[in-house]
Amino acid sequence: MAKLKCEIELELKDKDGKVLEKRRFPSHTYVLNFFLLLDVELSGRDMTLTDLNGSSKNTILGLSNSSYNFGITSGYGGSTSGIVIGTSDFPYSPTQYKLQSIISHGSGSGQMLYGVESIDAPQQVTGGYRVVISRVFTNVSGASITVKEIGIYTYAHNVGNIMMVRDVITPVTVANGQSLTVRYIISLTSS
Amino acid sequence: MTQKLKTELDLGLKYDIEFELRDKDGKLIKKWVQEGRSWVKWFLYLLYVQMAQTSITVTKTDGTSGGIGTLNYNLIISGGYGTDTYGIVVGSSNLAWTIEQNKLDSKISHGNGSGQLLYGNTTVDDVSQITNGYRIFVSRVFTNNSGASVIVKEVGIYNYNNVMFARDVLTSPVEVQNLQSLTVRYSIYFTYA
Repeated sequence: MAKLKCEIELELKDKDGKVLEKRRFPSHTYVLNFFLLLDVELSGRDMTLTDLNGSSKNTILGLSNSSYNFGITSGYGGSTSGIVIGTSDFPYSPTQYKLQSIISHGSGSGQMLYGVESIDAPQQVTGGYRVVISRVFTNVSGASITVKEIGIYTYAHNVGNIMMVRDVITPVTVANGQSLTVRYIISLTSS
Repeated sequence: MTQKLKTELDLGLKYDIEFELRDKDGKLIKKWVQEGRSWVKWFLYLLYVQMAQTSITVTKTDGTSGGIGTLNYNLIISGGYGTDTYGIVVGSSNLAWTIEQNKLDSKISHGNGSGQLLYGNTTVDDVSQITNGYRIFVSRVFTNNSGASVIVKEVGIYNYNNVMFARDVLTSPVEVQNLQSLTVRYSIYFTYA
């Protein structure tokens, strides 16, 4: 038997890279869009998903561009794909299609710098394997920012970017000059 | 037995396997559910390929190894009638599961010869809502037209690219007599608290 699970790890560091706080807890909030896209991929049929603007659109699996489906890569500054963070603690609902109050990329008030998304190749761990997805968010806005929600945005061909996961977390305050590393750890381990 | 719906907070993609044994007239003889938690590592590998938009080396069901990159059919499992190379597959071995396995240990092939079963379509239903969650049913009917009983001891899922996603050894082997059919239905689901 093998358990496929997803955990989140948060690491708060000061401006010199010193770890100030580290937490790890289960992620338990896939949203419906994720499961619909999984159904598209398993069945080979097109379905209707909701994009980040709330618009319903049909996937088109037959086209070669659909090979980008489930992609979560994102470069520096990209806040429409990969791990994203926000300031709202509005309760989770499976039909949500975006973070409730996303923190945008930048150095202005209320903004944070989005680092490059990193997705490590599967690593062998005791009893199984894991994939680690991570991103560093740096606060150079001049004031503290409190992060209360995190999520992952992915891609569905002909729909665009969609949200696949949203977690409301115990708030973490990122002071000016500090950075927050968010890691999603997807593991498949024997039990 | 009723379907088990797990509510652990350590959410993952879970599945149970439902079995239905029917006689030649379609009358239900027996129905039961087995907890399925036997993904193998190749499923995680292909999720990684799609998420990272990269490629990785996998071992396919025929034992060959090679790189697989992003494809629009990397996860497709809807094998058609008679296709015993992808979709839900069944076998006759009870070799213990390991996370490294790349195929059923002894797959039963499609046909009406000795030791064979007829493979129906693998169907993947639309997402349906359950209490505090959602699920996808994946089903296939196996019909015995071989002239003798066939014992099923293992089930699995192969994708279009001949990569195994999951393998489960049945808690109790099931004997499918001549002209009987066995429906294997995966209920893949997630739940939220």
